[in-house]
Amino acid sequence: MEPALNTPSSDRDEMERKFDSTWTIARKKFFKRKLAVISLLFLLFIITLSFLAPYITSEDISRIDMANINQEPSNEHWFGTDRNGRDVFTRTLYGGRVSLTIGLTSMLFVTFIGSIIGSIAGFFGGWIDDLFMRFTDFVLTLPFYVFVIVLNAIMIGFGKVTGMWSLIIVFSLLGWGSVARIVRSKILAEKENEYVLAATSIGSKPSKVIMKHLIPNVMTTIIVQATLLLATYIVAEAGLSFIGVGVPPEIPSWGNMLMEARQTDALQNKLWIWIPPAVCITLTILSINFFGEGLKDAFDPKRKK
Amino acid sequence: MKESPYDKKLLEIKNLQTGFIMDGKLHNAITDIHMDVKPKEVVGVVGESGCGKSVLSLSIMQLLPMANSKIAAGEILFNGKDLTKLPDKEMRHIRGKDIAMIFQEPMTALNPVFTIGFQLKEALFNHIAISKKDAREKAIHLLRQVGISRPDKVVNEYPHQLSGGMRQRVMIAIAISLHPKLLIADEPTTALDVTVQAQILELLNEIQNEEDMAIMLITHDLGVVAEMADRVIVMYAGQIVETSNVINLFHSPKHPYTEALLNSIPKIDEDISKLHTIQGIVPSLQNMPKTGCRFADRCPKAFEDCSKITPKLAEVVDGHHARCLLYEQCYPNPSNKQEGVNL
Repeated sequence: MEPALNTPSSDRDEMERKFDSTWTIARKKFFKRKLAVISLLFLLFIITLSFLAPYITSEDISRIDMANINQEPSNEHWFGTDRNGRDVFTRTLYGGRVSLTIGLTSMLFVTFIGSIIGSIAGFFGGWIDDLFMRFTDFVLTLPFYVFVIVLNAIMIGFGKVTGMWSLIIVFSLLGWGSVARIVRSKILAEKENEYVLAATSIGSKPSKVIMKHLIPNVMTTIIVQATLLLATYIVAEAGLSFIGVGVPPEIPSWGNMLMEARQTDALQNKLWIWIPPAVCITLTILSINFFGEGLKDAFDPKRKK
Repeated sequence: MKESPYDKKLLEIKNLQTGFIMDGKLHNAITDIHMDVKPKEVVGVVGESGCGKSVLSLSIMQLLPMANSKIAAGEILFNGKDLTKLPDKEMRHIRGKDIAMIFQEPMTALNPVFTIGFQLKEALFNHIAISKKDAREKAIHLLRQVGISRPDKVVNEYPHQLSGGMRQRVMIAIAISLHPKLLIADEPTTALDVTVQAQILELLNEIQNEEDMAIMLITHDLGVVAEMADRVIVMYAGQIVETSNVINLFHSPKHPYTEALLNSIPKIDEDISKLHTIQGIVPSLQNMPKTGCRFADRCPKAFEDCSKITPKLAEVVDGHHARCLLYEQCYPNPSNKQEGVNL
């Protein structure tokens, strides 16, 4: 037997390299989950298609072609045309762009605002915590849909912002409460660790302690929460647009394309008009949720597999 | 023995009183703290759990939780500057640079998501203008100084890859990175096993000689104090009950509490079935006796005066202070034995 001390140095390097950072471990665990990976690929696919829409189809989204209304899918119009003769395939792609932009942007804003407010409240505690969290409670008590509809109508009425951005702003203003609460509770637990004291003891500013030390440690929670919010906002947009109070009808989004299905004739006989956006919404939401679940498990140190 | 009592004082604490606010009332965790640390001196602060050792060290560093604690009175003079009155910004320049601290739990004192190198460099970047490359080299040099083998690898590793002893070495490296004048070591070896403890103490000793810094060593382990300290401060229930140089303290303790503490160390040549303990528990913050000696309930030598008259800390023998009514000097007002009041 070779004594252990004589292990060649290359072997030792091998052993040392086996230690991974939290992120590497999470990435490895994530890629072992088939459903989550498929969901991720599907999401990337949908996002790419939507945002590359102008390069994929040359059709005009709002060109009305009365000669070709309600056409069934064909070589020329892959998903057929709607009652105004607009190409459904083109509108689905552009609609995806609007829906996903609203979802992703609202998610970013909400997560950003929520994390800042939650971490400040959690870190400083005392009256700052009270002030911030009571304000959060207040925002959370506002009935979400009622306020979204009213605020959205007001914002669009002012005419300063387009329908899409108005919805994003309203979602962001009303949605950060839950993130703030979660981040605060995580920060409360995390700040008890001595490394926070240690960081302060070497002269770091509170802002630096929060941004550099605490946020990275609660980042996994924030990311998981953000993916779930993304799904929420896409559904919210679709729902609001479906009942006609979301994105204005001239801009296609998955939600207001579904509006067509409110006509019994379209619902029964012209499936091609509403099935594409419906399938897109369903699959996107499912993928986001599977992806979110996958991330959650990947970041959970108690799940080994 | 570095016996030079008229040296300039590095740290001087006068009448410090720190408390926690509970139900709108201030409960003092430490009261009437007078102490000083001279340059290059190792001062041990001993006492059992909950006696206020950590509150004392956090008070010096101004690291008390802002929400519910307060320095109610007193001064903490560091190089003549009162830390309690210093604005946050200036305090930040002192933390890590002039006064550094190492903590009890090396397991949690390093941020798990960053490499060792990152955390070492952070201290440097906070206080001096230094390029990234120089900072990295300095980090490696520091790791070598605290006795970590293959420092060039360790800088890129994460805390969970290191053992407890190694992490405490890293903490020491961070603490000494800017050559502080005072190092506060809050139970630096408590979380480590005995052999590693010895190594860390040895390292602290070496570093103290190399860097010429003062150490305030907070511990509940009298063995650690005996090995490291020049001077010892014994705390009980938020007060200093005895201070002396290390030799006098171990050979002729003056306060019954210190005696009891020394007595409760198991002796290797003693054949007994039950260890000596101090009966009773430390009174909680809310139940601190209003008058009298705080140790009176548990003291084997307590007499009538002990629960009525509050002793003060006084010099009992040359350079040896105690707070106990067994000594005439400790009566608050020796002429008429008037009652004093606990804060």
